[in-house]
Amino acid sequence: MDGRILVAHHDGVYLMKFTGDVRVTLCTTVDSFLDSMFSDSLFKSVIVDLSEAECIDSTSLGILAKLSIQAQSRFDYLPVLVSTNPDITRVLKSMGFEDVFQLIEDKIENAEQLGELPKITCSDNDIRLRVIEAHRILMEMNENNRATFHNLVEMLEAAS
Amino acid sequence: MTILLIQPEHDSSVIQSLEFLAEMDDVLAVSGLPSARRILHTDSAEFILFYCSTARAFTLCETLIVEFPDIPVAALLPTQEFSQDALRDALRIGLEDVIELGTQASPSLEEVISRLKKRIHRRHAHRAPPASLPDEHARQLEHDQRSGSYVQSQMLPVTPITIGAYRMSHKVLPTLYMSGDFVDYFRITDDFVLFYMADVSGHGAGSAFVTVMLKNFLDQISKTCTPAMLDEPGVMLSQLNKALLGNRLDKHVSMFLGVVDLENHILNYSNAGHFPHGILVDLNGSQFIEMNGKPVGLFENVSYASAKLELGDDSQLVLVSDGILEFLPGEDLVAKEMALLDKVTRAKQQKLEIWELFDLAEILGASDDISFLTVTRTG
Repeated sequence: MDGRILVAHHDGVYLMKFTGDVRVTLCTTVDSFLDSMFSDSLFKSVIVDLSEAECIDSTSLGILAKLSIQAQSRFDYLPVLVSTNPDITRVLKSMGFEDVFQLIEDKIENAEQLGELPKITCSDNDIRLRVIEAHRILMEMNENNRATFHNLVEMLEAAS
Repeated sequence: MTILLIQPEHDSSVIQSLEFLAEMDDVLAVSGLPSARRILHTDSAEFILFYCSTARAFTLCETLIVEFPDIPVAALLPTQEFSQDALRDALRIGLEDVIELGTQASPSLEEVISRLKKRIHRRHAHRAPPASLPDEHARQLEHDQRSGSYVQSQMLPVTPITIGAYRMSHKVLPTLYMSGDFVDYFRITDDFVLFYMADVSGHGAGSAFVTVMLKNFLDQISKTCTPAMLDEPGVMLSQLNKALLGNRLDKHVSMFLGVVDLENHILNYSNAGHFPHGILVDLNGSQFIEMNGKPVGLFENVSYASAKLELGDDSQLVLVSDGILEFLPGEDLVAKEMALLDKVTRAKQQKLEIWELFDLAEILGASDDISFLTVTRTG
């Protein structure tokens, strides 16, 4: 299956989803996405979802590292990384990514699994619940229902 | 030039018997593999005719197939060596044809070669030209890539080589021409040898440039390193991490770095996210020496752990890059890792290099660079 990086956002809540066999040759598009996301005045939270990824290449791992570095430096926040494929999780752990993400190895089924949200959202419980709800909706996005989310979704990279 | 004929270096009777071929208009005859490689790095050939005294010499053809995957290679084999087994080996290696020499049977050798030439021509004619590049431009690009590949291959250490009581060997197979994988080993002081395997993110020319910088950095660090750094190679990785981040190359490197104490037979090592983990083969069998760590060139202020282990008589350390995983049997990563351990054990038992247990012709189609490095205690 061709690899893709899909992104969706709603009210400052972002989802970055890697699907298939992701091999990135140039990451300028992804870089500008990361810049625009972290410059978004409404930014509240980001989840990276690898649960539909079959394989990710070293350049993609570099992208994840940049995302974590910026989330930590700008918002003092360890982003959530969902990795349900044990093969990918093993590689992530061998590279020490456990220290730079909140690594979730099971499918997200309830809000508690989302872990710690950025400090800016934690002060207000209503906002926190809205963020969780937005993530819940965004996480339902996949290759097949992408059209339903068309106004939220951009495809950053398509590669084979 | 159309055909490159590779003759043996010192066998004058063979050279004489091939004279009629060497004198053909579109044939350039050279003696020995090194001369052939030098020519192929600056000029292309439509195909290569390689004289092999026995079928065992097919392995030399294989090195050309690996290095110049676009040029078909046919072997010239004396008739007494010609057999079903030889043909099978030739097929496995990916030879275009095996031409029997010294037989009286028709068709004649000229006819066989002319047919081979036509077959290759037809294939070239059917191959679609590059979509957007004019021929000359594409040729120039290919030429540049070949030159780059040649320079990079010259940066790799001699293989195999023995330093003290240790034998080191390696094989690096790029996806196309230049590789983001790199290996090196050299003596730092009388008592210590440093070795590493590095995998730069991405592949091709961009990643190959980083391997040049990496080699330069490790050559420098080896000249200035302290006894404490030899004891804890993780410190070298921390310094390399700083250097790479300072250069803003937007490339990171996963690498395994080891220092062998030649006198006391101790391996000091550190790992910056290299995967699969290093494999130690000794009397207890093969096992991964697992150590997690962040790749260098990604995160600031990373400190790298160091560990040590004793290298018993006849023990061996094997490193492979992750590109090989594609060619290991198994449904998941754990199964592939087990298959790798099994191959490493078998290679050691059969006194073969680990890469000899893989089908190198198949590996040529890999989507990632592949490399192997072994360090074996021999005494």
